[in-house]
Amino acid sequence: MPEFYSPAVIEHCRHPRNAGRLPSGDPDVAGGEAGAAAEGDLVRIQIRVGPDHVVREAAFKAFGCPATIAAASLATERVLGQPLACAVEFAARDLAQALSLSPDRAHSAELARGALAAAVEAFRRKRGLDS
Amino acid sequence: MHLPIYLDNHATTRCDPRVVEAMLPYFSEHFGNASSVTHAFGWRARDALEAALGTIAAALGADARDLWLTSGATEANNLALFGAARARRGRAAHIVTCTTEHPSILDSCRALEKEEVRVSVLPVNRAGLVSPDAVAAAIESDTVLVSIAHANAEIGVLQPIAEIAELTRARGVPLHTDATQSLGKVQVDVAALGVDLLSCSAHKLYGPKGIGALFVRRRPRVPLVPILYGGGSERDLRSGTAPVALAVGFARACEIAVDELEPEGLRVGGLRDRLLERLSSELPSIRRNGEAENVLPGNLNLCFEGVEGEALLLGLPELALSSGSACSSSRREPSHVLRALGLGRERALSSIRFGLGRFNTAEEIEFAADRIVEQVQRLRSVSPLWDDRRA
Repeated sequence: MPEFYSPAVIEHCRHPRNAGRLPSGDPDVAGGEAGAAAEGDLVRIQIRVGPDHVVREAAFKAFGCPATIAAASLATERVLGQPLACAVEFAARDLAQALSLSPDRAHSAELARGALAAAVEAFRRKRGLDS
Repeated sequence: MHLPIYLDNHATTRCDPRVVEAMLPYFSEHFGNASSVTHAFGWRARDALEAALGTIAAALGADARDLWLTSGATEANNLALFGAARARRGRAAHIVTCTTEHPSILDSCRALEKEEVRVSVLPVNRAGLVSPDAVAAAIESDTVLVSIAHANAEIGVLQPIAEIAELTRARGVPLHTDATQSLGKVQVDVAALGVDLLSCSAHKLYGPKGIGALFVRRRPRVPLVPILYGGGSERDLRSGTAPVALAVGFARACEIAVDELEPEGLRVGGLRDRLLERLSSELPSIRRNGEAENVLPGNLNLCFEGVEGEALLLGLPELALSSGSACSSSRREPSHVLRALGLGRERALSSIRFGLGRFNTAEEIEFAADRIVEQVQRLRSVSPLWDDRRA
């Protein structure tokens, strides 16, 4: 499918970064999700945040087309080492651009960003931080 | 073994080298126009064309005089539907078809609705079969045609055409079947099927692209009007210069398919069964879409739970397969056929169509099974749905 997908999508989809799960019971881990399987795309992202409020680990699971898997993979890569305060400062269109997604697959980037934002929000709630 | 391995034989087939060989002289040496009656080039082309029509007709158990060459099955289907509806010349007309038909049927029906033709699109059951009784019940006093495909392009299921034909004949309504997927794979005989119109295409049976045919029964004559005009042809249902080389190729393809029908059906069916056996023994939670019985020998449509089809195909560059949905649109629309069977979006999007054919070998199938198992396991390890299922 090279004519449909950019080399970046192919690379992330075939060799996803940070695929997996973190132990959700850990106090410094929180997760979020976006999308719905019945709609064809579901992304879950978890983050582990250090005492300095920097994202130390990230993991994702995704069901969806190659663009969705690639966007989730890239989002976890982007967030590593970021202070929580600016973990989701990048826009979905940055992910879309980095992956050369066609405008009609922008949805995949929004899902990845949405899942990450939900994870950050969940962490704040878990730790009683102001958002 | 050459990579990638072609497993998409419902989309098209490789032109058999024996077919190519038969066609070649008709591109260069014997290039005449079969309608040129004044010289030897034309006579030669005419002879070849007539012989080809005879061979293609024989493969269908038909008379060559009942066969019209077209540019392919799409045109043959258009000619059957538009031809039958427009033969009513403005009077009320009604067509009966079903939800799992090819777009060349369903889109033609939609276009005919704009010409005030009424269309009944019947549902299918979970196996993909249309009920003959439902067909009979849908017939109205002004029904001009019933059109039900012989074999489905996605799930390979064979419809009970002969049974439907008995009912349509009793009501005096012509029955059309699109036999594009079945010709050359299973027995196709217009008399045994009892059909009045039948579409087929050469490139699905190892022949060239660009040629198909419509069988039109003469007795009783099915009223049809042309959809292409252009004169010059001595028969008036389909104008245009006959593609002699393609017709010769189509005929050779039919000849080979008929000669090898039984052993090839068994061989390809055996490969398909082996693939299914390997995948179902090595992977949990895979489900076959459609029927297990009464299906084309080369067809296998599988749902790999928890894995999205396009992502799976991207992980399998060594295999040429089809997922039945395209990621090129903003909202991926899963196959209308799988949805018609009652599959949810998620399951339909997790399905892959395998189309095995003449040139596949046992070695290729073992390799394909190895790669599919590996990729499904890899994608399931990334899938949140697979986590939920195991939780």
